[in-house]
Amino acid sequence: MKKVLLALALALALPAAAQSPVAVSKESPRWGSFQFSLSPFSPNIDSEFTSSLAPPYVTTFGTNRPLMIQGIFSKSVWMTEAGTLDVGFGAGWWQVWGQGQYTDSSGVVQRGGSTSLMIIPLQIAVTYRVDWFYDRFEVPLAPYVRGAILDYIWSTSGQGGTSTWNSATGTSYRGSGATFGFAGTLGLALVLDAFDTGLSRQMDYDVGINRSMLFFDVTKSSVNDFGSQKSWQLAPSYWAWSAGLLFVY
Amino acid sequence: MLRRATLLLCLLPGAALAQVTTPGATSALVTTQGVSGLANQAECASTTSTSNWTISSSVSPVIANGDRYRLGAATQSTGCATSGTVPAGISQDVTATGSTQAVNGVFVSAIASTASVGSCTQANDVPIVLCVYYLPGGSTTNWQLASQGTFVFQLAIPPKPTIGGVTPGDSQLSVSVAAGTATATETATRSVTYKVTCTPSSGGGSPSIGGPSNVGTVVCGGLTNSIPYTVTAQASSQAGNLGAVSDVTGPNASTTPLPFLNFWQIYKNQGGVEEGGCSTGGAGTLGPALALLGLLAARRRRS
Repeated sequence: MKKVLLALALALALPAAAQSPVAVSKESPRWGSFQFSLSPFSPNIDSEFTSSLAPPYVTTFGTNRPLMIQGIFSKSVWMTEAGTLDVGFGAGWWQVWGQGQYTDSSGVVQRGGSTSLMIIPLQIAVTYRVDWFYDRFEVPLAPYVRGAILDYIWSTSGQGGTSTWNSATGTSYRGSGATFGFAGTLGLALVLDAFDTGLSRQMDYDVGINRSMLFFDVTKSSVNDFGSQKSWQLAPSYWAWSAGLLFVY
Repeated sequence: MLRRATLLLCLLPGAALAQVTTPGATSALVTTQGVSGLANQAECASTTSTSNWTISSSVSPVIANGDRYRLGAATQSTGCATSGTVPAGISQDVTATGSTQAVNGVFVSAIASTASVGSCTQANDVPIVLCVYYLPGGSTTNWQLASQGTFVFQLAIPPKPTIGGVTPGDSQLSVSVAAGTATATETATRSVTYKVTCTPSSGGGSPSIGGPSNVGTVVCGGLTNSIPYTVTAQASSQAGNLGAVSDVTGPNASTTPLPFLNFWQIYKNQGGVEEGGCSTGGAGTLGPALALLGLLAARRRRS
């Protein structure tokens, strides 16, 4: 299992590692980190329709949680013996597909036509990661906390591209926009370097990656323009978990 | 003396090879379906279907000498002749005007018979070789193979496809088409494409054709909402052999296009508060504020 985890990290970041000469002993200077993650995601748009028997999101897209993929580039702005403070920018992608609806004159609902909701989640994140357990005691665990300002760029589409809706008064509303929010995250990273320190040094020597971590975290967020009465809720209703790999370089 | 003889022995095979002229390339385009190097069943059997040959010869003929080209064909197993008696031509020999030359109007049926294709309704494709022989001064002595190329009589008929399902849309139907199973008389062929025909079940309007496209979802567009349609699919091979028409799907609810509402329209119809655009309320200032902060940070770093 240990070898599998380390091999996964190396396969993603360092195909050439095995071909290189023997590593040096001194660690390279740290600059920041990069991480990518996968997370099952479902926005809580239906929170507006608590009394509805057929709320629009679940009716259209169902209860599945398609995966959101995200990456964060960070710069380490404060490093101590205890841990590291990273400030970074993240971006990702998420999309869900479903079927539209048609209600005939007798009230029978039929399904058809494809429709989708796409979100590009952007974030500015501040992360504090405790490196002390591994650096001091060689315990391969690094807990962390993160706060983030979120900007979800979203777009809905139907058969003919981006959706529009015309009100009874003739106003046209285009189904795309951006919604701000915030998030808090608690996570735990497994330091993969502990399982093969030689290979870890080799990785640092070859491509400057000081540390590789497998992480798991949970996030609670709110994305509704900070409580605006004219915004929907694009954050999940639950603590959303995510897992991924983090590289310190 | 022995060393010289040994050296000569070593060089002889190379000298012999150097004298062999590699034939040029030839291709043929059947004018009716327009795919180079292919003829379909109908073209194989037709007495009027012709092809245009493009010859790139390995020799440079001299018109004044009366040099000619002879067009031939052979089975893939025997290949073009390179020695002995020059083979009979598909048509009359043509005056050789250059090392690159086009010859039009070569009958496809003549190619088939010369290459011993046999029946044009057989289930298997028949690859053959096109041959161009150079006849110096028009003589059948001292001839040589000047050019050759491959050609396929694509005789296999694609199998009858199946319709996996139909999803209605606004003025369209998305038809899921799956390839049929090849039988003894229906050999699956490469590069099969599919057309879908959507026909209004009750008078009015003309059928709509979707495709051609690969196996998967084929869309019939431009349909009239609320009218049930019947849907069929048909495969076509690369050379244009049409397969059997699939079983009919519909008319039913799934083959009736309707003006379906998309998610945004459903949301707004139910009274959703989101209005679209870039953030609302106080958050609207957040984007520009963050951009300004980023700009200031960048300027500070530069200074």
